[in-house]
Amino acid sequence: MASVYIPVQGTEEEVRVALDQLPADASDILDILKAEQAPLHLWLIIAREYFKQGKIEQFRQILEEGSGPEIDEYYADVKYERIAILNALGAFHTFLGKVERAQQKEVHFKEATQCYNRASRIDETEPSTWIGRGQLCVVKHDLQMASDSFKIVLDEDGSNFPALLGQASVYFLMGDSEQQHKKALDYYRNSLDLYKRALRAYTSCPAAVRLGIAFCRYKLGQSDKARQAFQRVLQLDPENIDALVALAIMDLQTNEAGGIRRGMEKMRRAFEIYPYCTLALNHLANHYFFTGQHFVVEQLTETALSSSNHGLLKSHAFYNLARSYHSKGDIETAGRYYMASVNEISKPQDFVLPFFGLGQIQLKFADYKSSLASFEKVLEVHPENCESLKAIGHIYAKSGENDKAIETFKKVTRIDPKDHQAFMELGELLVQSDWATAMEYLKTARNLLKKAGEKIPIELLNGIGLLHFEKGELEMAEQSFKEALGDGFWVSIIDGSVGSSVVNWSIQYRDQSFFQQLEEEGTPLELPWDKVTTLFNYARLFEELHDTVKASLFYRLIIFKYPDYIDTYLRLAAIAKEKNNLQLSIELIGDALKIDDKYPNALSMLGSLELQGDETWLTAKEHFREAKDASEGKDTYSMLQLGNWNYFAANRPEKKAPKFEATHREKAKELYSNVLKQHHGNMFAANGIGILYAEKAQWDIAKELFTQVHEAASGSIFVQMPDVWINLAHIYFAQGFFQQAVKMYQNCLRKFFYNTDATILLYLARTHYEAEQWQDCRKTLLRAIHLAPSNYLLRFNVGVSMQKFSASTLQKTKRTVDEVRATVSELQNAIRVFSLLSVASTYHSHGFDERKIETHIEYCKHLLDAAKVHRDAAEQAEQQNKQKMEVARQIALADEARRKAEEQRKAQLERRKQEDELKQVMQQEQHFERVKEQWKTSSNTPGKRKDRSKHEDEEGGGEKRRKKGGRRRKDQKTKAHYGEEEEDEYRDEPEAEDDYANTARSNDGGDSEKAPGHLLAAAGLEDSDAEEDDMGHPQSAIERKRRAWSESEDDEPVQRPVQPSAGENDLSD
Amino acid sequence: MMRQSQATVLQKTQQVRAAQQPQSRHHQQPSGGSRPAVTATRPAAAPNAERFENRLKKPTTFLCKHKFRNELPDPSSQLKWLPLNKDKDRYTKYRITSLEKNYIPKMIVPEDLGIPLDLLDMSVYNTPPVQPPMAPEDEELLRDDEVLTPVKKDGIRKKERPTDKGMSWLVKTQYISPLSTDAAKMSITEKQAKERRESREGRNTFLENINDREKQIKAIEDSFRAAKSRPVHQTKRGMEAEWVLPLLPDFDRYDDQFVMVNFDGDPTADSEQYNKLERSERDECESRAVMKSFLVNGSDPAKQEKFLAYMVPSPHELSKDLDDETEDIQYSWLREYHWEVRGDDKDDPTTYLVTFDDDGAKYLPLPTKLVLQKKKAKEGRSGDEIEHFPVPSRITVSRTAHGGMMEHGESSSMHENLKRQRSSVDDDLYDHPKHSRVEDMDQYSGDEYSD
Repeated sequence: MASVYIPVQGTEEEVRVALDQLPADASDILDILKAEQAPLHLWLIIAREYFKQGKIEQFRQILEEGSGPEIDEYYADVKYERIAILNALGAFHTFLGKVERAQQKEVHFKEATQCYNRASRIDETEPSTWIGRGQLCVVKHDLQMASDSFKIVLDEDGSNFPALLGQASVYFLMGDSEQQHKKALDYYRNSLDLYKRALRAYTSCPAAVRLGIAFCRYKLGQSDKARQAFQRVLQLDPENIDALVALAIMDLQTNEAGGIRRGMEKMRRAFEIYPYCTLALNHLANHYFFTGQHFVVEQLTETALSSSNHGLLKSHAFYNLARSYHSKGDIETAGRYYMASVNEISKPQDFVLPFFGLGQIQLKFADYKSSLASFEKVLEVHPENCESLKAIGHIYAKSGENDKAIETFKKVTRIDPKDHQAFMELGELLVQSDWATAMEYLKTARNLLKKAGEKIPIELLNGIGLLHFEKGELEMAEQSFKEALGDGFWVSIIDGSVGSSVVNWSIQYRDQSFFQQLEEEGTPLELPWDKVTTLFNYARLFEELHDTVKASLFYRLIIFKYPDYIDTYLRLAAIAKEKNNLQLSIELIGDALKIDDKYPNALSMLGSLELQGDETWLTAKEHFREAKDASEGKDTYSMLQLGNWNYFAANRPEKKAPKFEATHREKAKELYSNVLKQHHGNMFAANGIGILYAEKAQWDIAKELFTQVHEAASGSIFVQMPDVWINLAHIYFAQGFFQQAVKMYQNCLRKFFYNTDATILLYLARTHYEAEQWQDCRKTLLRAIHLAPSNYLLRFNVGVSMQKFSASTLQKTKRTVDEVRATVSELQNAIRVFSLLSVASTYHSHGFDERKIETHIEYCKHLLDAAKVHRDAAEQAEQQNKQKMEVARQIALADEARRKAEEQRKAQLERRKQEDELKQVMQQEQHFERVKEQWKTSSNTPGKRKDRSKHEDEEGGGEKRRKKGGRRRKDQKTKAHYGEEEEDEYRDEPEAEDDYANTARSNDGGDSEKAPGHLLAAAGLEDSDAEEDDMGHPQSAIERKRRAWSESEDDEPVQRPVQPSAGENDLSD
Repeated sequence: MMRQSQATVLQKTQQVRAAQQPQSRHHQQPSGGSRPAVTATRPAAAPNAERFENRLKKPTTFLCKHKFRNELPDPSSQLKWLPLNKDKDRYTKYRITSLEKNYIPKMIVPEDLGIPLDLLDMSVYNTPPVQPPMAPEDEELLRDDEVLTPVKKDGIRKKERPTDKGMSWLVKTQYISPLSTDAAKMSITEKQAKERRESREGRNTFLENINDREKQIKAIEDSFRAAKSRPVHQTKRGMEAEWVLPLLPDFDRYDDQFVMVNFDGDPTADSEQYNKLERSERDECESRAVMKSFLVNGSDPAKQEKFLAYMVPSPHELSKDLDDETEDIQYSWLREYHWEVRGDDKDDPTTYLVTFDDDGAKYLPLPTKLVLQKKKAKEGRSGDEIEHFPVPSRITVSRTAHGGMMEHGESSSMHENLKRQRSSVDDDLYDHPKHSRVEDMDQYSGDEYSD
């Protein structure tokens, strides 16, 4: 039993006070302390004991008395004890300020400051006072002042243990609040150094001091050393909660199964040691949430919320509660807790999870604006979080902002190309505006699901099949529908093993005995509810493929299993209508109306059928109005039908009155306009208004409207609208643009009707008729007759075209016999056509009667008579032409003969000329022969000269020169006649040249008349030498000799007169 | 244009049925023949001008009536679209998201780092007088495998221009930038504080700079071996030492702080009283001078002026023994100085004071240099900024048990003008110069006398 002994003043006695039996009223003990002037440290001991026992008021009373003015008077010389009391009081107020609310907090901080100021006035250098100040500044988050206070102590005593701890914690907190990472690390490093100094200064310090080292190492990223330090703390103090929780967090941060398990184990131990540890409570709540124990989650979380004021920890606790309620489906409570969790943190970066949950709750309540803001907060922290992006895309879609929704989902597909959900969302958003892209996205989703091995939803396959169908790719559509439906009874219908017999074909559409019989035979007929619609689509596909047997079987199977599926009755009615079985069609629609007599589609369809009957067309209006009323005026289809009905009524023949006509048209226009106001892009309403303008002959406006509708319809795969093509062609016809009208009709036939619509062919024929293209008109009508053999109107028109053709031919000024003959045959055919028609005219159901036919027959007969006359005239004309041609032919023959005779005369003349020329040639040849003979005679003389010149050479040199020149001439003549003397020629060659030069010199002093002659002769001789030098082969040489001979003969007469004179001159010389 | 048509298609499709999606292909409609009755009646009617101009309604032999069409598709002919994303709550019901899977819990550190400093009971943290040896586990906690490169924080140094006795007419260049001065002061202040803390711990910065523990041990052993070897001349290896004295720190004075003070002139030159004294007597007075720093609050509260006061004992007081605690010594206030601190890096001092005795040489680091300028010599300042305060008539210095704290004497004017504030610099400047005289009149080094 602990006690304190208060000495009695003036004596050696003491009063023993048991600390566990302190009086309830502090005044009693204060009286004793004052009366005996007990040492102040005893006051402090007693006060501390009161504090430990939780008696705060008594603690405060003693300390305040202990620091009152009287104490300053009586204990003036006792400084340390007075400072200790003031410091204790200051620490007390610091503690209260830390846990109190805002207003009280400031009051306590002020009180603490005053206590420390009074202590400083007693002794300014007391370290404990500065440490107290530092602690106060830390609590007030004034870290700089705190640092200054601790430094004052450390400057005096670098080993002051509390100051080291204080300064180290200040550095750590500075690092936590520092924004720059590098500076923060510096702070942590400084903190670590100080903790190390503290450990060195006090080697046996409490275990908790090593927590500082551990936390600093953790912040510096030295995980292993941090773990080591935490484990050291636990080694010294196995129940240290902070170390245990810190190690648990480090285990959990590995995010591995083993680490998480170890972490949770440590959290559980921490919870067992101290049940109010907030961090452990939060993590345990998180754990039990995932195990589905919501009650435990609530208990743990409530405890966590009450045991901590830390914002982030409270946020975690609220988040765990919110998740628990959210997963249980309590949306409102979850929303409140998510909001509370969000409000506990200052920015999303601290804890982003509750923002996602809050966004989900707000989205559930259709608060799109707030939900969008919440998810945007998540994206601030995680810009590529696909869950948030998809939620945002969904919000945009709900708000009608499809463009933003599409853009957002596209972003998701870029971030995560394997997110099939995003592709499906995109496909569904785009199916209206961009069906091609929608198709691509849906296919991508299907491929992703296939690769992932997941089951492909039937809705996805149905959608893909639908788009293929609308695109006209019926085989692809069938493939998709088949895949969507999978196995079932319908497979046997598809492959024809059931229901393909002739007997089944004759079964009535409304007869269900076929299926009943199958069931009795043991065939199971199972049709899951989620496959009915796809089966309906498949049947509709068979309709388009013209396989109405399978389509009918599918529809009747649906009716057999789900008798209330109204649209199947309507489809069967449509099939009956296609087969022209109007009665059955009406009966089937009646069956549909029995199920729901207000079904707008059934009423509209019934009205359409009645509109075609002369007796029931008035009733159609009632049904259209019922359909409109049943949908409360929102059904544009029935409004359009009413508009069409009014237009139809305006054109009825029996009430031909302008007043009625105008009234109906105005009503029709009103209805069409109302539809356009609701749906600006309704093509049928615009087409209807165009028709009304056309009826008023306002062609330009009507054409503009039809053109726009035509363009809109061309760009769509969901609407097939041949009517606007026909209407546009009508406008061209009305305006006289027959070529364009023909083009439009033909394009419409080819595009929509496979060239098999008799009505449009009739329109086309009339266009040709108006354009006076009779043959084209007839051809078109004949094709129409092939398509509709029982349409007598077409036959009548054929007769008319024949008649027109014949009449136009007969009106020509000039006609060929063939044309007239063709006209006759055409007229005969026309008469036959009209005669045949007169037999059928008794029905009076066509546009013509017997009298009209008789008129046409008479007219044709008249034309025929005229044609025959024209034929005879034409034949006579032809005969005359033939005779004329015969005469012309004979004349031509005569001219031909005359021309030949003249040619013969010319030929004879030419022959005579030729003969004369031949004679001349022979004479010349004879002359040449005489010349040859003369040449032979003259050849002997040069030989003599040669011999003479040889003798002279032997006699003298001077004379040699003159004689050499003469020899040269002789040599030339010799060569011309005798080839064997070639060798002589070569020997004499150089001498000949010398002689020529000598001859020139000798003439210089001689007569001027002789010089030119010598020069000419020299020139001629020179030429001969050149020719002779060119000789080569012996045979060719002979030929050349002949040429040379002939040429020389030509030259010889010219040279002959010259040579004798030259010879004489030589001789004279 | 294509977008326009697509929009048109979109609206067109919406109008037929909200529940029913895209329409089917419009198949062949039944061919509508012309009405025979109409044609039969038409020839009988008298044609009017308007009708005749309308080619569509002109009666002709060719029987054909051009009828405009607006056939609507069968209302049930469209394929049915099944919604792909049927789950309305797919974005609102709770799911474990990637955010939760990837969430890493944060380490939340208690504000006091789990170390309570309870001033109510400080006994827990009272260090025992005898420290037990540190546990091996704790030593391991203190060991750092990685060592950061030490960063020296050098302030801006100013090299002192050498001055000779005979060139006192040269005035030193004054660098007037306040930034560098403040930076230098701050830098030195931090270094001083760091040095003091380290010296009190007994740590050796040099040893700590070695990176590895093993290397540190080896370096220490090498230094011991080097100390035992006989010294040799650095360049002339042939020379032998005549005698060897050990160079040791001056252990008696090592804990004292010494400052080398540079005066800009003879401090007692301005005083007529001291100028009359003989040289030896004057030197004796100067050797006993006391310098103390003061801080003055002028008219501008934000601006404080600090200066250093030079006080010399009165001539007639020389016979008194300063160590006698019972006597009060009277001083004369002679001059005020502006002071500027320069010096070496405290962690690596390069200036030492060496004293030679018979048994060894003793050294002291002398890292701090104090450069003084006469306070009134600064003419560059504005006259308004200079405040003159009355000089105390008399100052008495007495030694007390708490240390060399100067108490105010009889002068009452001191209280009004002077306010002492604690600062780390003040302690450095409080010196008791010893009786020594440097031959150079421009440099005077004070030495604190021992008790």
